Amino acid sequence: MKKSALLCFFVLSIMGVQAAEDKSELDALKAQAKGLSERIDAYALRQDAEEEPAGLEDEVQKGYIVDDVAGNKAPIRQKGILEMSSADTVLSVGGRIDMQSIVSWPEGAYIAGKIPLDERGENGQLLMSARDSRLWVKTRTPTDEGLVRTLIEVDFLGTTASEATTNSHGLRLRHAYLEAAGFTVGQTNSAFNSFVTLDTIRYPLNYTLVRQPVLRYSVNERLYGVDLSFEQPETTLLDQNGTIFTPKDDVVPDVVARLRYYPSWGEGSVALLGRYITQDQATLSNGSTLSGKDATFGWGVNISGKIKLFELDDIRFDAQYGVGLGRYVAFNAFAAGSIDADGKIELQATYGGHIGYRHWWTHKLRSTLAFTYAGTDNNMENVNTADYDRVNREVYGSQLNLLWIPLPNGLVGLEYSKALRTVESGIKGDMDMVTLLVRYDF
Amino acid sequence: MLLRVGFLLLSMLVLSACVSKSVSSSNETEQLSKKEHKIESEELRILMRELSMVVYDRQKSELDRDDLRRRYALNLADVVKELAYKVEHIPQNELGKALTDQDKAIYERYAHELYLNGEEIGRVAQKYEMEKLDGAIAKTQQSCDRCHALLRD
Repeated sequence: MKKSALLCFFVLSIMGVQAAEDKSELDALKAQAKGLSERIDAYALRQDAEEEPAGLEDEVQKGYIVDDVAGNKAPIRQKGILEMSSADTVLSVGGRIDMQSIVSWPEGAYIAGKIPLDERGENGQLLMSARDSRLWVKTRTPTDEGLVRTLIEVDFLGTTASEATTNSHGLRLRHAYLEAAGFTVGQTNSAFNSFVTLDTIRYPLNYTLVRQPVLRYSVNERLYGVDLSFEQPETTLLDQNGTIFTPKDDVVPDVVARLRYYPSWGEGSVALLGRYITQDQATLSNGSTLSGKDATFGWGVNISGKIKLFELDDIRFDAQYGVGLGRYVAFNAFAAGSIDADGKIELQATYGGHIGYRHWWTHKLRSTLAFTYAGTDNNMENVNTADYDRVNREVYGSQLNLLWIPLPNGLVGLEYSKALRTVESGIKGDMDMVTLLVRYDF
Repeated sequence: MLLRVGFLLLSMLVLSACVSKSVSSSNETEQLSKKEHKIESEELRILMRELSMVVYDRQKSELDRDDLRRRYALNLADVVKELAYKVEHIPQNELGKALTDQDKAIYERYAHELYLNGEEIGRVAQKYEMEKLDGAIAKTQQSCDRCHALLRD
């Protein structure tokens, strides 16, 4: 009996051990099955990735796709990460490569205040530059309050570097602004600038090109647009030394109201400018400081337009007039007014305009012939007679070009331009310039 | 100086030569194209051209250019829809006698597709989705081309 009991105990023990072994084996099998299942899932994911369009396979081989073997995460199909502040933000990057080769007789620039007055400069000196190349980044984000758009744009016309070695010219800020709910805030083109511009390589001599910080509200309809813009003020005055200086005493922003019109026959705009021109114990160009202060209102009007003619040809024009217009016309060649020894400001009338005809020879080739004039009525009684040749009176310019589109967004052009400048002493100077341009917008 | 002037004149001549070659081929294409079209839209052609020229508007900022593109694209959408309406309502006798009922059904489908293309261009422009604009315009072009390939004499 005892023997039987011992035998039973022994058998049961063996069965118990066997059961325990079976359980652990079962657990191991379950773990194996789970592992296999995970691997099958991972292989299925990889299979999906391999069935993607051509190109992805190469990325897999290059290791750009990170495959999670456990299959917990979807494969990552990118080399790096660009994180945006909003998932809905669309970011675009673009710019242009611009290469200009310029030859002039005599050496000078096609800018109203820089036309040489004598023949001292070298004739036919060649200047090659890629500094007008640009880079921009823009974003577009839909929000509950509407679309928010931003732009930052730079070129390389900043600090000039040595042309003898690396030509490492500095970046320069052109635009940095946002648009939302009809408002424009930041630095961009002044609303007083001509809305329609000539299709020329060089800017016309009377060019209304001012970029500055603005706070603007705009209404845009299909046929017209209206802008009310508060812009950075900057008074420029002519002192006794015939130099245009900036008192840096401005207290009220310049105000521009503009109407844009988009009829089927062209485009047009009218801009009105109001300015509060001030000086408060200003420091003149010779370092002396005035004791008094003064302020006065200036104003200006700018009309620009494009009239479509037969086929794709058009006539483009602008015209400005104003008292105290100053820096808004002809790249600051003329002052807003002059200042006497007591610090009293006297504003001056400034006027200008250009007209150009653009003709399309073919779908890829076009020409523009343009004429420009700009002038001012300086108050010369406050300027030393010896310094009269430093004060610009008027400029004339003409341009003729041939522009070719060799590929979409590409442009190759050749332009001849002639400029004539007269200063208050009666001295005249003229310059001929030829520019070869190669440009591509990307 | 004379050497440089000579070089520049030579450059202009070379450019002109390239151009005169492209003029003749461009004219031929245009003549061929005009000959084939039953319904033409000069406005559409000019708008497409102006849209492609916005990139050369040098003083405008990129956002200003987008404003201009949007304006042209909205006008383009209107013109395409107007054209689709004209195509859809073209008199039966101008469609050609050889067309079967099935051909006419296809024709009407393409006319409707053209209208939808116009709607899409307008929608993209309205939302400033300029990156999609080229695609929307290309789809319109494809609709025209497919219809022409199938049904044009």
